[in-house]
Amino acid sequence: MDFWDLIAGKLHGELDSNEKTVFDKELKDKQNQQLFTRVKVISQGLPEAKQLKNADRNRSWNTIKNQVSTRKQNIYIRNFMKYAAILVVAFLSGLYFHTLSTDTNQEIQYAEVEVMYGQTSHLFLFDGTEVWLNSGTKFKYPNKFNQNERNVFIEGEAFFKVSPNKNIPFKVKTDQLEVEVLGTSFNVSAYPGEETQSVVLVEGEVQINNREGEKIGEMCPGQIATRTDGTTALQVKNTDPYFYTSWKDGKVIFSAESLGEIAKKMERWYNVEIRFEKESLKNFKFTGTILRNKPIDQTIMAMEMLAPIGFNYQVRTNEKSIITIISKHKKRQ
Amino acid sequence: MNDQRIWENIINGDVEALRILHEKYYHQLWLWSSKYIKNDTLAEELVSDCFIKLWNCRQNIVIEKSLKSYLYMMLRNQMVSQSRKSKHEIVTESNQFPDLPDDITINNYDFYAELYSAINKIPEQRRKILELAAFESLTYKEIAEQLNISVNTVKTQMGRAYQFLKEELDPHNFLILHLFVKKKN
Repeated sequence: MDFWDLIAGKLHGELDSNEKTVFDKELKDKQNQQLFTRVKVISQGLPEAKQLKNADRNRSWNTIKNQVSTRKQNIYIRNFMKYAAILVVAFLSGLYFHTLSTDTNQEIQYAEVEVMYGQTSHLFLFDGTEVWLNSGTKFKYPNKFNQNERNVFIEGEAFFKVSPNKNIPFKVKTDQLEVEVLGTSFNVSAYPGEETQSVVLVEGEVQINNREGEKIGEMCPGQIATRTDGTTALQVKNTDPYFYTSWKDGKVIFSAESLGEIAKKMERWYNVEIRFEKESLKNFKFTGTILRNKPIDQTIMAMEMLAPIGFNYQVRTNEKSIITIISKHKKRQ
Repeated sequence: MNDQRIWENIINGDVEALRILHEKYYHQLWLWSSKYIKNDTLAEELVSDCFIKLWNCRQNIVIEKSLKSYLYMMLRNQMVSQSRKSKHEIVTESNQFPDLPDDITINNYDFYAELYSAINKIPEQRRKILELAAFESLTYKEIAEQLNISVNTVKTQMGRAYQFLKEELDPHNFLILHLFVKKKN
């Protein structure tokens, strides 16, 4: 009879007097003592372990499995129902609007919105689509969408939350591109005078077509598609959509953006003209957030603290004011 | 797979990671809740709900201490809201809501759950003998009669059963055992 049998016998009161003597003798050994103490703890846990016979782990998992897979589907459907796509588009040329008016269907009446520099606009189309228009943007949309298409036209920058409708595609047309939405929300930026047009997709699914309506690419949420003037290729890469969509909430975020680029934007928001004393000043890079509803001098003050630059104002009453950006180093000399 | 890894995978939407977590902690959680909930099916429902909630809210949950204590906390909250719905189903000594288990209690429940899975790994005939002795409190003689075997067989099988549990719970040559088990698969 080995020590294990003796331990079991001891724990269950099954040792006869002979075996008891042997067990007690064995227990004088320190290692045996430790072993017995441990096995005693194990045997004391057995009544608790017995309870677990009533716990049906597999049945519980089956319940969970069914719930987590159906829930997933629900969320997917709900998100899909909410928006068809969120997207930003920007355009290059202003000519498009004029040519457009001539070759569109006579039956469809178009409404045109032009957002002044220094302002933004927010509107709902009658299909439920929500649109934010950035400063200096022209937006044209039919008074009534017909059964087959929902086409809108933009020059400038706009953020769309497109109301989903599987049967009627939503198309945003720029002078170069066409963004076909399969139900989503997105930002489009296409200003005249800027070299690239871009589309940023926040949510949903979109397809990019050329002006002829032929597909040239598609995008996933969190991506930006850009097309530079004069090239045919569409570049798609990952991005943080927040940089491109924050304007609609009155914030403008820069990430290592050059003063030259920033000045172009400021001209639009504040309706001013910005000149540079030296071309090289355009190369200063800024990272940060500007709140657009603050007056321009606050923005300028912040920039003066960050870079060795200064601003000269020339206020004009009937025309755009002119701001000249100068180098501070030179001023001191 | 450690809990941190499991949690990362759950956040990324991996249902398999949720299954591993469930397999790891279901028994402990159920056993703890069964101290307060006398209805086994209700206990099962509440524990299952914890995992469903964990999954549905995975993007918004911040695990501060550990995933394990977070699960106990969720389960406690489930019990509290259940007792608001129907008072008689939750039994506590002082009619108060159960306290969150401390680390020692949590370790004990881990031990019971490990012990239960160790028992289930004992070869069937030997396990049956152990269960009759430990769970049903039968004497060796009664077991021998019921299973139509000799008392001596019961003695040695009981010894082997405890040896098995000890080695399963405290594998001193863990690596070797582990490799052996892996090879077998």
